[in-house]
Amino acid sequence: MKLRKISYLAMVVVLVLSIFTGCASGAKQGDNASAAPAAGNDYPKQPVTIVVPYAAGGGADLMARALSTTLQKELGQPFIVSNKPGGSGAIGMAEVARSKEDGYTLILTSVGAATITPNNSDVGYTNKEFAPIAQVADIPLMLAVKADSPFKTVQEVFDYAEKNPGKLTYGTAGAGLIQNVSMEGLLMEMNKRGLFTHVPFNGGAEAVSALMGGQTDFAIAIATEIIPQMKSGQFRALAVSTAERYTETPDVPTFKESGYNYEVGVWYGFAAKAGTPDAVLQKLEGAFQKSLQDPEVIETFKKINQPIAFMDSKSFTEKWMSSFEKFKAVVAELNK
Amino acid sequence: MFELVDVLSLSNILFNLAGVVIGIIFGAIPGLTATMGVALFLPFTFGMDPVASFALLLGIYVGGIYGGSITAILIKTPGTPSSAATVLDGYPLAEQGKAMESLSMATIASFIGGILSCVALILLSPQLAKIALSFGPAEYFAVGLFGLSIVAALSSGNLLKGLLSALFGLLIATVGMDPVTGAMRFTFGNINLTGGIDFVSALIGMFAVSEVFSKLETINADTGMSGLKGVKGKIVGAKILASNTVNFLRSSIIGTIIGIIPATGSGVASWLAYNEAKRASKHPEQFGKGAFEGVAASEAANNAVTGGALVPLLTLGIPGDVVTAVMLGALMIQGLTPGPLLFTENRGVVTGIYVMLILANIFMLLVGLLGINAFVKILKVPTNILMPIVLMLCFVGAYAINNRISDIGLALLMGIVGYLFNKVDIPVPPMLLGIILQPIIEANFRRAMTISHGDISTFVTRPISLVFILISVGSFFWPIISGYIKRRKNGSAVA
Repeated sequence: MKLRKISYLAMVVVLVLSIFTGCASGAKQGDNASAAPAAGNDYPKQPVTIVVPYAAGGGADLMARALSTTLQKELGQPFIVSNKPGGSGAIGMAEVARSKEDGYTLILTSVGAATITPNNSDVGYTNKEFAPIAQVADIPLMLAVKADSPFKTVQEVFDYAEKNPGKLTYGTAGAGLIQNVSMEGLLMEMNKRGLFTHVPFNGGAEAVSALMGGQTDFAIAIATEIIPQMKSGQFRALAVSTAERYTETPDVPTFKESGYNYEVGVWYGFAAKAGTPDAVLQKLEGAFQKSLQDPEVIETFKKINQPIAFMDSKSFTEKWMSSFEKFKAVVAELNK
Repeated sequence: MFELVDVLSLSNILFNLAGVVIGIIFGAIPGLTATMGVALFLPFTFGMDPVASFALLLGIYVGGIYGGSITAILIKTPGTPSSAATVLDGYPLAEQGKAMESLSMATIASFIGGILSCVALILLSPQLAKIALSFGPAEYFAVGLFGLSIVAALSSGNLLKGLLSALFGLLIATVGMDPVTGAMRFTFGNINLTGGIDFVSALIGMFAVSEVFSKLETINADTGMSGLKGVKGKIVGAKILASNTVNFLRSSIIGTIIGIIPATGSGVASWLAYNEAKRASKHPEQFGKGAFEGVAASEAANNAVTGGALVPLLTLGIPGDVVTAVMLGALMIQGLTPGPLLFTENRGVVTGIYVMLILANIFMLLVGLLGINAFVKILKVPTNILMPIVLMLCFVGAYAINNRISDIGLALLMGIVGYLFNKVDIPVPPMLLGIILQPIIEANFRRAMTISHGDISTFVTRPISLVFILISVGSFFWPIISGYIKRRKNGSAVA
């Protein structure tokens, strides 16, 4: 009968598609299977879920996917990437904050979601719910102007602004992001709030295109967004936010050199739920360190413009916790 | 010519074809979008060479934007946001038994829009890139306002109800993070609302879920079949196509330009083209009741966005929409940096991308036309079997966007809202328009005011902004004025 044929067909189509969408959502078996409290020695006994609190196809997602292959090689279990985008990374973070302390749910977080968002509003987590494992990448910020701008040094930008407070506008990827909060933090420290007028855009690409179109006077953006435009002669980077000169741009001075205490980066790192057994954390830390030396991982990070910057659990924890406190004060002042 | 031989290898052609087919499937299913398809298949391209990778991804992109029209026409549920405007006339045509004509019109219009935007991309990229750069916050605000001004035209006679619907859309789009201060608005402490109302989930609810509810009423209890007439006729005739020549051109230009302006997208393009087609039409009263021009305008415009969106991506390294943002990632994975240097250092890859985009449009035309006979079989599936499947796909799709259960609740809630709106004759499209345009209008108004240091005259002293604001005013009042003139002319005879 024809009708039956059609309904069979429909059923098959639905089945195939549900499998498809199942894959799309990054099959999350890891969540469901309940694990016995891992002593650490036999970890991992089952697949591990890496929550990426950003959309598939973005920088963080690609890093997580590159590392998941080598982590599986190191530890013998699949590492499954699960994208939980939304709320500037807060949704994925909150989910891991509610997960079990067994090391089977990890998060690849970033400076904003870890140290700024929870200070901005109540998102259901702070810095206390996480056990940092390892930092994997760190990208500096740059202050850039259009190639035809009269400003040649960062000193000139500040000098001009001193005489014309609030007149210069600077674009960033968005309100309450590290680009914005760190710059306002610097101005507060110098006791010069309102020196520049902030224009928040929707993502770094928009901020870059606004600078290119001459809509803003300068941009604070991550180095990987600025460098291609520098190479093509559209932008001039006046300063970089690293401690020493950035290897990719040896000609660009640091903020420090010009006397501005601005050392900040957009870092990415892994964490588990606080309370995860030390043995598990150590095992993971070692696996991350090894993974970051894998030629394929190095190649992928290079391609997606993410400078590898391994930091062990101890230093990474210190960095995370101290930035959290620092930005807490800045955000409180900004929200006044 | 050597380049062309390399580019058109058998494997590249097959990847392209596979991409188009995958794209059409993703596009046709409510909730699975072109963006999702491209993001999902991105990891598969890591090992491929750049041209093969783009053969696949561009195929998915083009197929995905087109695929949305199939379900929009056949079951009144747009597969993707960009085909929402296609529903307005595509479905009434299907109801009149003209499903095949309507589908073939959508396919041919998509092809024409896609190809014309390719031509623009290939010939005019550097010049067009300048347009993208001349758009600052003031101009974006003006374009957003222009988009909103077509509410009057979408209100099908009752302006008050149309405005109500649009205001509701604007209101719910303010949920989430304030774009300028970062403060939370209307989230009531619910973390799932911090990212705002997910646009695609809302669309699924308003158009697809509400349609399932409406269908429940009309199912004939005896046979389980809905009242849809059998499919007759063939593909759309040459006469109708020829009469749409200007419409195709106009809609393709609108689509290409909207594609070039970063951060607007195919949803806006199809509505603008639809409105312009209606305004230019000799019989605008047919719109909404089954006008081929409506389908042609919407589909030509949304596929023209594909070529347009690649202009700022390739020439400036700036993605014009979410799909091209994922493609930026794909380019970087291949070690290529988009921007002016791409054209000098990697000329071959650029040629490859052009060829693959054209090929994808050709495959879309072929697969679309050959597939029509298969697509219309959906209409033979009894409603009592089809609708539960649609509902399930809606929920799967809503979940798959952000992997969030709460989005399923949102789709259901918006389904109820859409159903109630239909019951009291409040048009749903203005609400959708409000949701699409709110972020563009609000954020850019505030950015422009920040940049001008609080001087509101910035919107009228910047020429592009001024032009759009004048057009908006005209566009808003046009349906009212033209209606008035018509009434005056016809006198009391019609009244």
